[in-house]
Amino acid sequence: MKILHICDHYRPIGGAEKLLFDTLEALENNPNIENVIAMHDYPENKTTGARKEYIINDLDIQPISWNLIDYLIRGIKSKKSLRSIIETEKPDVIHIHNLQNPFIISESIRKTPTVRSVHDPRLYCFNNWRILRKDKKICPYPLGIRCVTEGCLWSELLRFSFEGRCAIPKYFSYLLHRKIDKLIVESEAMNACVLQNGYKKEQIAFLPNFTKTFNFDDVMHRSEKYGNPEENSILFVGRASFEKGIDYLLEAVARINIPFKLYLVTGGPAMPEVYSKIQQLSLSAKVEVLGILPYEKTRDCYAMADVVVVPSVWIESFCLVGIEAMANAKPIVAFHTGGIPDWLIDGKTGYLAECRNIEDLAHKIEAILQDRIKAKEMGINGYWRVHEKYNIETYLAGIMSIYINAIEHKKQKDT
Amino acid sequence: MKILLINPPGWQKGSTNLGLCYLAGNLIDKGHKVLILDLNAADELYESAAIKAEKYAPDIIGFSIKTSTANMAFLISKEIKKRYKKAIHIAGGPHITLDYKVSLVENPEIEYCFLGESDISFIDFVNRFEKGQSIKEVAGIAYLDKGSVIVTEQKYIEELDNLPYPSFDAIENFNFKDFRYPLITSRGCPYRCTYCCVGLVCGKKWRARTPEDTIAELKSAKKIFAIKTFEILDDNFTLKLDRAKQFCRLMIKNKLKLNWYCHNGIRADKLDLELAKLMKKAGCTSVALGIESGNAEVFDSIKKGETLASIVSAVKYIKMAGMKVVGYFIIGLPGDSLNGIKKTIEFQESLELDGYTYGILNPYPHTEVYDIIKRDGKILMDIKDSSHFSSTLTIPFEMPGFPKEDMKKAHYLSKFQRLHKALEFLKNKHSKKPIKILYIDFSENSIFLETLAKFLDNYDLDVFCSPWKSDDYFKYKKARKINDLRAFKYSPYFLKNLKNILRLFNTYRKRKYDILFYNLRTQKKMLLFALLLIRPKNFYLESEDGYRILMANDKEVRRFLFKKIKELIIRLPKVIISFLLTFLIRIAYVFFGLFLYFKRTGPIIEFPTPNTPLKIKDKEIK
Ligand code: B12
Ligand code: SF4
Repeated sequence: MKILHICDHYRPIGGAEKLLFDTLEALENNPNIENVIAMHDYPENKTTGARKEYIINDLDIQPISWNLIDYLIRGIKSKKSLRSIIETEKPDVIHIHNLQNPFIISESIRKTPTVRSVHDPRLYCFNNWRILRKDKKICPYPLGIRCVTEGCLWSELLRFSFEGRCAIPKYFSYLLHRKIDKLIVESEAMNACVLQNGYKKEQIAFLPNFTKTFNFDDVMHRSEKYGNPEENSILFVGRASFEKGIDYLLEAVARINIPFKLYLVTGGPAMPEVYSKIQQLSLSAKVEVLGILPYEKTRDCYAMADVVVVPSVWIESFCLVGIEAMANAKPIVAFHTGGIPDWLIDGKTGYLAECRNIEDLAHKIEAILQDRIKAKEMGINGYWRVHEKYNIETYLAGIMSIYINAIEHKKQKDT
Repeated sequence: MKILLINPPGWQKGSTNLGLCYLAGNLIDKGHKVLILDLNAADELYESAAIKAEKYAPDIIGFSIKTSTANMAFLISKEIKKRYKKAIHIAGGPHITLDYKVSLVENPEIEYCFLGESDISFIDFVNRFEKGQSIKEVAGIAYLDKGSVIVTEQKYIEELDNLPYPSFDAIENFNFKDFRYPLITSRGCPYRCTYCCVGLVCGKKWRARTPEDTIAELKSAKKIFAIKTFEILDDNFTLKLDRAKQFCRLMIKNKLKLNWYCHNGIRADKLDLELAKLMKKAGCTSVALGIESGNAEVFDSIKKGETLASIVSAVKYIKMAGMKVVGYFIIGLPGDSLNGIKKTIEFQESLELDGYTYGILNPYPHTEVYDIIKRDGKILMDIKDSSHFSSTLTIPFEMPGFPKEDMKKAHYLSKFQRLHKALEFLKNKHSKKPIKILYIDFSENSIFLETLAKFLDNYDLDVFCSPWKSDDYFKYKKARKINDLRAFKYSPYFLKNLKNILRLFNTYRKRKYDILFYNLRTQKKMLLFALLLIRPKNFYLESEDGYRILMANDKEVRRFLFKKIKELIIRLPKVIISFLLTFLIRIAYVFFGLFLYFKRTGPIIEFPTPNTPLKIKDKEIK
């Protein structure tokens, strides 16, 4: 089977991209599968030679309001390049990973069975993150009237902006996605969001993320080697941005009464704010910023940590960090939101705190740090849970059946 | 046989490994299957190299190893052995030729080492290996036998014309775009420069191809790869002046119309005006000279067998012919010192070169300088771990007259000559009060502050950086002695950005800086604002590679500003049309909003809490 994968970023920048690479590698273990990839021509995107790779100009274009003509021209160009790739490669399935470009979507669904991974709410939210502009609350509404009344649609219009994006092409992309053969959702919460927005039940395929698993003794040995019994280490891994909740985490740790050290594996545009928050809460001595690290290095951090915190405050679609921490046998404290309760079993693999409740978060982190035996037990529970549910075999079987279903679905539709 | 050849990654990119392509050309000629993994170009992790090796499933895996890539090569070899055990590992290249004994003992994965050029010996090896014959008679190899190292006699190839052309097609994912074709017209070097390992690596006997054969190779390259440029990699391209002249004449006669350059350097005493002019006519654009030191005593002691006077005249000839001239210098030659380097810099300035690079000496084992340093000085690290002239600085040794700290200073002095001069000038002017500096830096990695600290102890520094970069700055604010640190607060709104910048630059203007440093990776638009608004007394541009400092009155800078203004003017009509259209789009947008308001609705989600489950409420919200 030949699969054409389409993605914007082809380098390890976040969870979605890590999953992309893991998926490609996993598929390539099967000799009957041939992967071909088409990526946007970001300067940082590089061909790897691991598979057939095409770089398409303007694959990932944004409908900037003040320059829509440019957008249309580039959109048509991207459609043409994709068409020629489809014609030469003749893939059995197209798998779109993280892309909104309606020109590309329409070209993909024209003749070939198409599958789409949904990693975030961009598909059905003009705001991208489903966080309301006015009060920063999580948005429970479907695309429609509230996008107007909550101001998610208009703000770009009021002032002149170089980045302001026009929502109309996005709406087209949303509509086009109704014709896609399979939408892959990662969690119950996302499933609800997709259904809420009018996508059909038959169209949705449920497939949680997976992560590489390691030998149990090796994981335990690493924890011993890297861990520091004298220190209570708390670890955060993720983007420095509002929705990932790093602010909430800093507020929470400021309320912890036992000695601790917080390690932040993070980076991004919000870093100045993170630093000023650290100073403002007088946490400088207790927080260490490690920057953005490759997964190998992050694994060392997991091994060192006593607890991993996932303080996300949006409808987290799945949160790969969670199962990565579990694969490294670490207990987790997280806010109860989005896909997190799917993998975090309260009291068994960590604790769920009430979403955005700082006191609760602080209290639960402290509880884990104070009971090391229980913490270890939770970590081990998590390790086995990943082994059972979020492993490569389950994922591969799942994704293969999704591809096959998509092919069948397309056939039925055509006849 | 199936053979995988690996070029391990190092810091310097952009060129192919010609040695491996020669081997591949020869092997393919004899009917073997060859793949070259150029990890230096692919920028991959060594794990993925191991995965690829496993997939390719070769019988022999060969590594081409320079001292600077040795650690990486051995690591990759180990990683491959872990995954795929069916191939034997062998190695060749400069480092192996010099240090095969230690390499064999320390890296049991590597079973055979090939010394020097191996075009013929490798074929012999592969053939014997395939037939299961004894390998011990292969010339120029070393291997371990019961714990002791056995070496067979090395043979140099006399008839270079007989070798097949290198095969670049064998490289996985080879990118032919802007391919600078690497050409070797001769091998070996008869000189005995004390710091150089080429005599040991390529042989002391100089052997050359006929100009006719090299021209034929270029013709074929032009046909296959449509090359426009080539580079001559010989160690002694001009050793025989007549041959070099003949090469140029043939280039001209055949109307090849290719640009080329000699950046591996030619000897200054092997050039006359006639040759320089012929080279220029044949398409040569730039020539490098190994000048090494401008200090006569040091220069004589390295046994180059030239004089500084010959350097002066060679530079003159090259310039007279209309080519660019580049000089290479070495910091840390025996007898040199910080003062000596200052003299070298003076000499270099007097030459008015088009480019120059200074590198800290790497004492390679088995060279004369290595023995001198071992005797009189101190080796500070395994030479494999040295950074080999990359942008990270390592000092691999020190000598009584040239301690480590001085060598560091010499490095900064040579690299940042203009910055140093500018700061000296200001220091003299403001003998008491600290110099006030503003640094605008949106680049990814600038080494400016590190450099600054090397030249000045007392300064008053403010930094304006990008939000992406601020991480580092905030972390090291104290260590880098930054007074006022600001990160650009990016807003999607154009006017807000403009307001922020104007306001900030106005405050900067009031502070009356002595110098403004501006990293050229920073948005170019901002430079215009900076110059117009902050109006610094002096300003310097730090260019992309971080090494060159340009000054306000440089031609390059003026050209740059002019270009920016021109671009702005050209883009203006497009911008105006877009502005006008924006209004139309706004109207469409209003209709779209109305459509959403009246036509679209759906259920809302009640998100779960620890006590309540997730619900989709079928409630209309109108
Ligand atoms: C072209 C060149 C480069 C190019 C391309 C390098 C490349 N990937 O091949 C560039 C500019 C990138 C380069 C960079 C550097 N280079 Co350089 N480079 C050369 C140069 C001038 C010519 C090499 C060449 O093409 N020779 C012609 C071919 C036919 O010969 P060959 O490569 O040696 O290969 C033959 C044998 O060695 C052997 N062989 C080689 N590999 C293998 C593998 C196997 C399995 C087998 C069996 C045999 C075998 O068989 C080949 C065919 O006969 C040499 C000088 C020289 N005379 O060797 C320096 C030289 C190799 N470089 C040197 C150095 C120090 C460097 C740098 C560290 C810094 C620098 N700029 O000087 C960097 C490091 C590279 C990196 N990746 O980071 C030193 C190496 C010293 C050492 N002990 O390692 C040399 C010897 C120059 C010198 N005078 O010191 N270099
Ligand atoms: S520096 Fe040049 S001339 Fe001197 S030995 Fe090395 S290659 Fe020969």
